[in-house]
Amino acid sequence: MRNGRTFITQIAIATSQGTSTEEVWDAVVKGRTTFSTLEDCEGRQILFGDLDTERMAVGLTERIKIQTDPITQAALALSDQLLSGDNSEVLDHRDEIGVQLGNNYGGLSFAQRELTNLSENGPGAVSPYQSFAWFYSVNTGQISVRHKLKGPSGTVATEACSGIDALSLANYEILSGTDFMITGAIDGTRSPFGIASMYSGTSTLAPETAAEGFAPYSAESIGYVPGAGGALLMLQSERMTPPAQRDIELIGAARGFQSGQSGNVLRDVVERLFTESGVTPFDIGVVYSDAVGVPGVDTRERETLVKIFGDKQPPTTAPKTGFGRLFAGASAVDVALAALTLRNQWIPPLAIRLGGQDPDEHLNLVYGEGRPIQKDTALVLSTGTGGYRSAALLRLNG
Amino acid sequence: MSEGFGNNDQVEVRRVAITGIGVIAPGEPGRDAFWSLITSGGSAVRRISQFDPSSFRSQIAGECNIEDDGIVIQEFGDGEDLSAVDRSIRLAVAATDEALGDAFDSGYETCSTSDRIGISYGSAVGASQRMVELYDHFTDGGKYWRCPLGDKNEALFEGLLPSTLGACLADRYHVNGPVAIVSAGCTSGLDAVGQGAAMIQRGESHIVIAGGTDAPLLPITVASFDAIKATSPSNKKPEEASRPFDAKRNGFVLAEGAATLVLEDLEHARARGAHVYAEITGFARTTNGYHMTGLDNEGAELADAISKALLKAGIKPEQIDYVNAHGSSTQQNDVHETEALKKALGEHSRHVPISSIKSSIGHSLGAVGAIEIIACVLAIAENLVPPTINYEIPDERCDLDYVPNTARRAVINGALSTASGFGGFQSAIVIENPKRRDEII
Repeated sequence: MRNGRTFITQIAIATSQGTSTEEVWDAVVKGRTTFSTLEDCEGRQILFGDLDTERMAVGLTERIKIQTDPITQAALALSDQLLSGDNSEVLDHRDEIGVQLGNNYGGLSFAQRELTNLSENGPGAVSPYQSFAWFYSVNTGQISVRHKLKGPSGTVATEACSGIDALSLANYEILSGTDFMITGAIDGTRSPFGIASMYSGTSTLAPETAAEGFAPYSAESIGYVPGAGGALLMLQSERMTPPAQRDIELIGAARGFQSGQSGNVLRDVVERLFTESGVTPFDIGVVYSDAVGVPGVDTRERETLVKIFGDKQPPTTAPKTGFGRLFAGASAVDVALAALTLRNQWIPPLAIRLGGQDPDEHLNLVYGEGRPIQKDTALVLSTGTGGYRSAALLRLNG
Repeated sequence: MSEGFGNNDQVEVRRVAITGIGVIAPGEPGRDAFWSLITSGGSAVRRISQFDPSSFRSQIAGECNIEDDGIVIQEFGDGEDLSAVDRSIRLAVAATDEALGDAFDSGYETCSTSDRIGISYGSAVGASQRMVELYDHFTDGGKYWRCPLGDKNEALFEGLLPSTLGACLADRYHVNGPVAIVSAGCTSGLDAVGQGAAMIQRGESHIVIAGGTDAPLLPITVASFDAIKATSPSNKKPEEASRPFDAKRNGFVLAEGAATLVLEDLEHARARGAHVYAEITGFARTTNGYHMTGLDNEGAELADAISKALLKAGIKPEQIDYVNAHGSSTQQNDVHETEALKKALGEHSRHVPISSIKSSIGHSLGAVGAIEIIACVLAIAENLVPPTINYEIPDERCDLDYVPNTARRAVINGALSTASGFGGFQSAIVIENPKRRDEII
């Protein structure tokens, strides 16, 4: 049996702006910037969108904490949020609930600690939990074990596109007959080794650069601020979604790869998605852009948007300017915020620190206080290091 | 219902052909050496040579006899330098070069420009070798907890990303379609092939480079499996250490490796006159929601995956002529899997030949699922069942036909491969002879 439509019925988000969906939404609507300062071994300072994993782990037992990385603890806390309260009824169907997530850094804090243990104290000192605590599918496995879920599950690793690609794979499961899928991604690591890795990307800010350096689409921008966080979403089939919960529909998601010689794959992905779903550029009420913050990369994204929308640019926003780029979690959070944008009928702005005037004459960037959404469809874009390209479409059902 | 495909809903679906295979398994490289090893009853398990294992409980592994700088065949690439990427990527490149060479005597370049080609590749611990190398470099062997944020070092960024595997393969083979790195513990390789087949089924790609790779032979990996006594400590006789379903089994043998299958829309393959080895006709995955590493004795969720894969293939248990078992050689797994096969296949489980090639090549985590699918493909092509070696003493809880020690001739039109992984992942895939499939369709 094939299910007809897919709905996003629950959302749980955590970033440096908050550890609940309500906190994060409030912060992005206000355009807050929440970067912390970390130091390396030489005293050099960097900015980081730091997730309060300790606060998130308060409800977890010591038995779970000892076997998990802080980012996995955050993933478990998000899954608790997703499956609590009114939505706990879905656990009546736990044998049919799958978990399809994205990931990038795995449990790298756990891994660094155990590498140090091995180095200092020998093989016998390595934690037995190292055998799974750092690998890329740890969040997926731990969530399914915690809630005793038995549906189709796995992890996809396509850097920043992981969140949308997980959504895409979860949607295929729904279309193939699974009724419930937990999807999304939470990523980023506070381990010093991981921080050094994040800051080694050519697109991150240089150490000791102020937050103003992360100003996508402006000439002054020189890179992005990395961060930790992500979002989980509950996808449900049409037949198992009560009418009252059908307000946000996942129309579809698509993916491609930009290898050296091919043209503009992101544009191809979006146009294929439009064609397959019967959506036109005129239907789009908001674009959540990738907004890397590196001028060359931003220029290519701008060109893509101009090619797709011409001189009728829909409002385009990038709240990640306030909490950072979250690697696999990045596009999952963008999808979650796009869903909230449709539900709340309000487009949050880019971080308010960037000012109130749109510096980009080609795009329709949302600066200042945000604005009401005028149309009922949202487009989310993502580009991943190496060549990954993905897009997702969501719609508000009236 | 699990992700997968099939025509049980009466919707006309694209058939998925396997038109090329490449294997870098423990032992000598290449598919011929692999097939010869596993059908002759040989073992590629030996004392670990990639580092000094003396201080570890388990000191043995399945190692590939292949030097890093000798594995890249510069047939498809642009002479790019792969020396700095993780060994798992280099193994994957070597396997994929062989697979594409097998699928396309010539003409790959034409396909790569006119068709949508995708990648679905599995890895459980992907960038672990680079992670350790970079950790040693940037912490001075662990002296420093905080790492220096010196000059930008792209290797430290991309070196840790599992997605770098997909990017390297995509660039090398001029891929323009969807690229996915699939990670689900030890089911990664099987899942990647199953999901790659689904990419063709859905029309996302005409051709998919699918497979799995891992190169986990590192002190941190060996130590972590030592800590939970998951790996065999039979160091004195490495070649006898991996003994699935045998009563004296005492853990799995860690290994490295890679395997690539060229999956292709059957119509596309036939239109270009390609040799079709087999078809992938059913795939399903579940989780047990039970424990990150432990398995119960019932195997219900693995049985569920097997039943769903058969349902999607539209065939009955009796149409499975060979089962390539996960057969990891741990006490838990082999009982769990035996029960799962009994539940899913019923009485047929007592008649169908079942074997575990991990007895010969060990357990290469996210790679082995793809390697085992290739074993099924070759079993169908050769009508030959590879044996479970080192099977000496029956375990009363494992009471099926495990094809002990000697390969067996059999007509094989349908094969089933299973996988089970940390995290509770359970998967099954059905591979069939295309001639029989023509009759069924």
